[in-house]
Amino acid sequence: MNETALTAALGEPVTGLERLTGGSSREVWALEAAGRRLILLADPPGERRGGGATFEASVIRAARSAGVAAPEVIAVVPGGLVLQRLDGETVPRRILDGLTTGTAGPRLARQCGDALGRLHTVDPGAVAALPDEDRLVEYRATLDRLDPDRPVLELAYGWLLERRPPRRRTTLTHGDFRLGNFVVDGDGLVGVLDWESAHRGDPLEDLGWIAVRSWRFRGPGVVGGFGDVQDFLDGYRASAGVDVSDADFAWAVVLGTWIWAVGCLQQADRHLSGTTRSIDLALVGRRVVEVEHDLLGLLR
Amino acid sequence: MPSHAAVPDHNELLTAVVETLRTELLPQVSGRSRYLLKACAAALEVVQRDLTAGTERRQVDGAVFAELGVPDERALVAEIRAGLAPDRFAAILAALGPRTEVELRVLGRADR
Repeated sequence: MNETALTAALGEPVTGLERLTGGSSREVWALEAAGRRLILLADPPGERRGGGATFEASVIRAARSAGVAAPEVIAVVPGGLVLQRLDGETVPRRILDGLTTGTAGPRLARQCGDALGRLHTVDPGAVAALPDEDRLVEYRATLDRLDPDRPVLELAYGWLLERRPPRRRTTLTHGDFRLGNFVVDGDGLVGVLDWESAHRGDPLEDLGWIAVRSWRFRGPGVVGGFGDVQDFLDGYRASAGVDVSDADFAWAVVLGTWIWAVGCLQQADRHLSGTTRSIDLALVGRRVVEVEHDLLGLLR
Repeated sequence: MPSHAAVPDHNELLTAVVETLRTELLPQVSGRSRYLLKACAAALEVVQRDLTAGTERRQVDGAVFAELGVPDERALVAEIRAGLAPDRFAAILAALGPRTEVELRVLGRADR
């Protein structure tokens, strides 16, 4: 991707194109056009998760129409998606360190709950080509494919299958709703990022994911490292109009933790298979042990 | 004191590489290069701990599999997949803890 190609695609002179750190699944670039600070999410060549830029754009539009804070879609360009660049912090540890007042963490937890509750009111039929996905099933298939001989993951899967609550709703789900995909400033949540994993599924997948220990970044709060479950679920109830029981939430956290453990193996596989050679992916794969340790703690 | 002090072993070489990366090279780079350099140093530190963990790993694995009466983890996975009685679930859950502790130490995350 270069400034000339982007200028042609956007119809505005593009300057300051610069690759940003982070984004293990795709390249993230900063740029400016017509005086606006923008972001390009570039699909890596030959590898495309989800449905590509057009799909992600339609998910973001649907979410924004329900009042979920998310960056405005500027354009779909060949090989990527151009979005408004939101002002605020995205680096998890810096967000956690910045929550210096006693009310900032609980407020952020309520805002995240509110945003997720709004998202879960969106009619999934409003998003074209939204894949239907049951992550317990999908990740079981991934585990079978990788066949890693990891007893902890089998133990957790058996537990999840046996205790799975009946599906109460099927909604548009974000698919990666957690610290690291939030933009936060002094007033709290500015926007939710990274919509490429959105699908039609069980909202419990989103509800538990934010509380997976790896996404707490060593912060003390169960929700994102910054909040407690009650504040988060209060915010959720207010916008979704739905109560989530403690038992359902606890199941969802085990689900999220198991999914992330399988996800670590999946990322390692992308490196090992040569699809994307990367020290990041290799290290994440190695860290499956941390997540297994978390699973053992949750199952005890 | 090592008897061959004049010849740095693999552990000393790895330590020297990590020190060089962290103290001399890291301050000179920024952005993505800095991020990657830190990742490389962290990976080498895992390798360093991994190289000394072999004995403990074999001992712990041997004790866990003996306690559970299975030859290896593949057999354990197969047993779990076939379905477990609650007592057996609890026994396996308790037995797997020490294995994970060893691997956490190798990872440098014993505090988790």
